[in-house]
Amino acid sequence: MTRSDASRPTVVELIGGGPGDPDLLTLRAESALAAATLVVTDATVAHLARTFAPNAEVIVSPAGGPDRESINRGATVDGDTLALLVGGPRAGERVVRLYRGDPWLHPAYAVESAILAASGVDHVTVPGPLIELAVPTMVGIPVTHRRRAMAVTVAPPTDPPRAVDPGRTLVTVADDADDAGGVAARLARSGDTSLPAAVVATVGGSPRTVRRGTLGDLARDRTLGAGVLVVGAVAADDAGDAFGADDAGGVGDGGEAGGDGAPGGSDPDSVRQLTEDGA
Amino acid sequence: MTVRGVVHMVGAGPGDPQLLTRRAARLLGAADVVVTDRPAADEVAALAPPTARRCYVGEAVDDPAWPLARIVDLLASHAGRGRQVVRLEAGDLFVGSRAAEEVEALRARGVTVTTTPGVSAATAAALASGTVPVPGTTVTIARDDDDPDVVPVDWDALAEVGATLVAFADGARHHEIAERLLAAGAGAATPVALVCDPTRPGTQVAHTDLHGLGAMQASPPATLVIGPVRRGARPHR
Repeated sequence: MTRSDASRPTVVELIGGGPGDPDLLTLRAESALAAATLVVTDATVAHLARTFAPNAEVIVSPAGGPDRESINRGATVDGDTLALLVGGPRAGERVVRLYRGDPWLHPAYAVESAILAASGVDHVTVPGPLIELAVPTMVGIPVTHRRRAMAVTVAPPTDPPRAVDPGRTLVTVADDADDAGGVAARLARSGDTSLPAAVVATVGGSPRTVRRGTLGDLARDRTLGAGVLVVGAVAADDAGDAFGADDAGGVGDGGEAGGDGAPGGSDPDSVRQLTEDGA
Repeated sequence: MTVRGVVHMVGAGPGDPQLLTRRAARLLGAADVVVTDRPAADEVAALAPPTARRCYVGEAVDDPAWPLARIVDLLASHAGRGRQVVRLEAGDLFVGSRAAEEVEALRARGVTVTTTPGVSAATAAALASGTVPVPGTTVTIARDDDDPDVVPVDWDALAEVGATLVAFADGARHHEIAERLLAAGAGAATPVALVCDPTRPGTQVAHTDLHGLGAMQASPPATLVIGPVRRGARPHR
């Protein structure tokens, strides 16, 4: 797969795909995927690549992230992924690296973009919705609020801050391999267990349910699964009642509800490392 | 068929209309009324039908920004007439905005509200700065404000070694941010990038450090990216 056509200027697009909800893909990401011939992506957003880049070869990078293992390893690099990107597009090929969330906070972005630059491969980076902000917003939890918190800290689930100070919201992502209750328990060990907290459980990056309580309540719950944990005064916000109304009346926005690009049966856990199409 | 009016609170992203989410674009395409703070959002609002009514509620040359209650009145009255109202807010929607208060006030009046996230202006600015955070560290996004009714940002607590801070600095707030972080123990050589208008034509990026930030005379409203390592070995051109 590594080849290059040095005579032709080519560009690799490094794009943030958001949390995985097809509704939160940006217009820019959608059009880049539609034109792509090769998409290198994370397992957690591979369903977006399959849906929006139906004509592209889709390769799932084991560099993955930003899951717990990737974060522990630091800026992860997968040699095959890099070879595909650094080899550069062939004539007529359009390569997209689709990241889950926003590239800036993705554990593989720094190394991948630096190696592309060092290899002389032109590339552009396109921001996407940040998981930690977008998922709570979808269910009406405001991560900042002028009377409750004007700062929000996005923390890796493995190494949460020692304490959550008043006036500040803490958000962290628990992936499928982890559990939002387990992440809450780690936080509760060093933090104030009486703090308001909420877990937005997600499937394929789309919100499904909201569970609210104190940090201590959520730390004892082992049924939460993957999701986004929000800790601080904003988690108690009544605005969270929005979920039912949003989900039924607003999110789907009429006729298109779930019709286009719903992740369907593409369980990220079942995604294979290499796809069949085009191989 | 009667249509129930709805206020859709929508994150408009950092500026480039192509960074709208699919859901935001769809809601705009069906909007009867689009409410924005500034004409700067016109390019995004252009996705609404030409027949849609446009309302500006932000600060203008001759007018101060509308008070919250007046904005809420406007939104509620259009929704009350059965209209699809899109309220555009910069960036992701909630961070640093008054969207949370607007949502509360609208719900208190029984107005149906939906919330649609956008691309964060903070991460767009951070990407434009060419810097990256140290993997595995925390990133805090904060907006300072000298309004006494607003809960203050505890800058002292944010001076953690190794953590990254993205701050929206209006007016001359960069002086105070620099001073407070330095007083709380942050290193004077901590890198700082100032970013204006990320994702827009004419994006401006300047690099300095915390000491330099404090010494800066004047700065346009900028997003400050404080603390991350810079990407690659090349200094900023």
